[in-house]
Amino acid sequence: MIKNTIVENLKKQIEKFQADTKAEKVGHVIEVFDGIAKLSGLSDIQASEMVTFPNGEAGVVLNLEEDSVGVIILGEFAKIREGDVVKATGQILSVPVSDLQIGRVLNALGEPIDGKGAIKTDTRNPIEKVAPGVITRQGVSQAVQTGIKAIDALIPIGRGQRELIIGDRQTGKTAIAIDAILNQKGQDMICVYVSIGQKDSKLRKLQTRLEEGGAMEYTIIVSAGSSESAALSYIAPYTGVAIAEYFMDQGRDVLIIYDDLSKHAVAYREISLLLRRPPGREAFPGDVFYLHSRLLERACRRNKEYGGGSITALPIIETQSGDLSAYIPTNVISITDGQIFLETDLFYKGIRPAVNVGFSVSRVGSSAQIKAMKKVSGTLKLDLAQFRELEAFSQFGSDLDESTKNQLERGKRAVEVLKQPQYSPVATEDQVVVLYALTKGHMDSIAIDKIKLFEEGLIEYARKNAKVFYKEVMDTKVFTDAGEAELVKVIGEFKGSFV
Amino acid sequence: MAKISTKNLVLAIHEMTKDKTGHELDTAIGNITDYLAKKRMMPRIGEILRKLEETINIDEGIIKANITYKNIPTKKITEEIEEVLMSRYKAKKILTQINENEEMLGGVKIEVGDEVIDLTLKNKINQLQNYLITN
Repeated sequence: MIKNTIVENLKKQIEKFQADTKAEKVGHVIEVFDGIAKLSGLSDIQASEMVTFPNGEAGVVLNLEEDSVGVIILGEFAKIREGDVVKATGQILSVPVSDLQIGRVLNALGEPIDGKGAIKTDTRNPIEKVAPGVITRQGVSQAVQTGIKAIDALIPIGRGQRELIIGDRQTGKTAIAIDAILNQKGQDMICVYVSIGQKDSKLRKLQTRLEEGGAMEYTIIVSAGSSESAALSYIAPYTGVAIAEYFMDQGRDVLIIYDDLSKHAVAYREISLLLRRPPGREAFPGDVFYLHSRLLERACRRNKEYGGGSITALPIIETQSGDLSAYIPTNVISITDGQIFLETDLFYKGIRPAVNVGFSVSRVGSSAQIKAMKKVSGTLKLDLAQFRELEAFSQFGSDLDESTKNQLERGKRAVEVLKQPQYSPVATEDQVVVLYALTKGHMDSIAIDKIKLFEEGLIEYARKNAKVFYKEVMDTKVFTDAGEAELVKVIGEFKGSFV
Repeated sequence: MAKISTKNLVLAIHEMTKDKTGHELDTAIGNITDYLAKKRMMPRIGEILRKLEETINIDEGIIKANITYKNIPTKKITEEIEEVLMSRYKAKKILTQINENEEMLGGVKIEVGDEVIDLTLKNKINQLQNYLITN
């Protein structure tokens, strides 16, 4: 019975089938090396068009020369031989996009690699797309809460912003990105984490951490591992943003992390050199700026008439010995709307996240910061900068006037408050409470080694006793005089009982 | 100085020789040969001649078609294919190369320049396979 049904279905399917008899443009492989193929023929081919090799591998056209076409091979190139027939597809490289991709780990071509089965979708988005124009955009006005006090208070990020995370190796760049993803739970945000040239073990660890924090429910991981070809590392961020755009087109907010664009630039340099493109500074090709600007320009906030939705981009750049003036760091700094600079010295001093407040900036984020946070963190950045200056200066002498001493003490407490362990994001309302207590001097009499304890206790106590304040901040994002009075009372009570 | 591309060189040679005959043509060819030797372009001569032939064919409306069958068909079928190709490529003349490939399952494969019309049985089976997988 079942056999008959299968045969009948197969017959029906075959009856519907019509063979395609169109003429195809073909070329031949002239040479193939290191993931690159040079082809003859293919006279009408377009840049970024997909081609297919006889073994089923795909390629993307990068170089259009007078007599040949330069193609990057997206996959196994060892079996491709000179003289092989290559077919043009007439399609610009695109990747599958779907709601079903949420919670999955994908490769640079958008195919699942997590062993949880195929994702069936007919929708595809081109990986190269012109960024939304001025008319469709809207200014940044809604915050992305990272849950990291140092960032939410001092370097706020808005939805649609591009904020660079920059620092040497092992300074906690990925940790900030992961914390930001973990804190998006319940904030109506889809997260896309693009891993470029990272070790598979690191990616697995990261995926486990996100799963443990329940963050994979709204996160997609796109990975081009370190064992994969440079071609895949090159297209991975574009795949990530193509997926992000699918969700933005539905009016949703997306947070995308590119970890990291230094490796992306290196992969592009490798491809460009193999394609015999002229090398420029640090052997990068001339269009390496455009490589990143066209990617990051796709992060935006659309206005209501164009469906709303946003893409917030957090690109990561790894510096060498803190050198911000290298080619790729300066390029990406100039493209983005600010940067979070992480410093090795601070990291080893135990100040984690090791954010250098002086070098970090958010150019548009302050307009997205909630009013309550603005009220309490207004002068914090300046205070910290002054503290750093005074701290260096005070090392030369012990005779300091009272106000300088007070400033130093306040600064030390501020540094202590801004310290935060990994994977423990703090809710915005709690951040407001702690920063209020700090900036209004309620912590001045607390010993520095007790600050963390005080902070934790205060949050717990305030959550139970400052209900009006919490309600105001959560509902209206601002607190009134009544709320403030309640908070002052609660802080006083807690301080009285704090031993 | 910029490198002279084969395409530009071929176009120049074609322009120089196309309306010439007899002594005039001999002189032009002599000059071209001297130029190629002086500019050390002789190693590229094979490619230049191949492109020159292509350029002349395009100019004169001639197309070259490679038609591959499993078994050589009747003359009538080949003539019908040639007619279709001439109207498709708006050619004045067609130069057909008929090939026999015993490894083919059946059908016909037509190659004109870098364009292929694959009407082989194998291609149809592959298409059917893709259709059944995706539907």
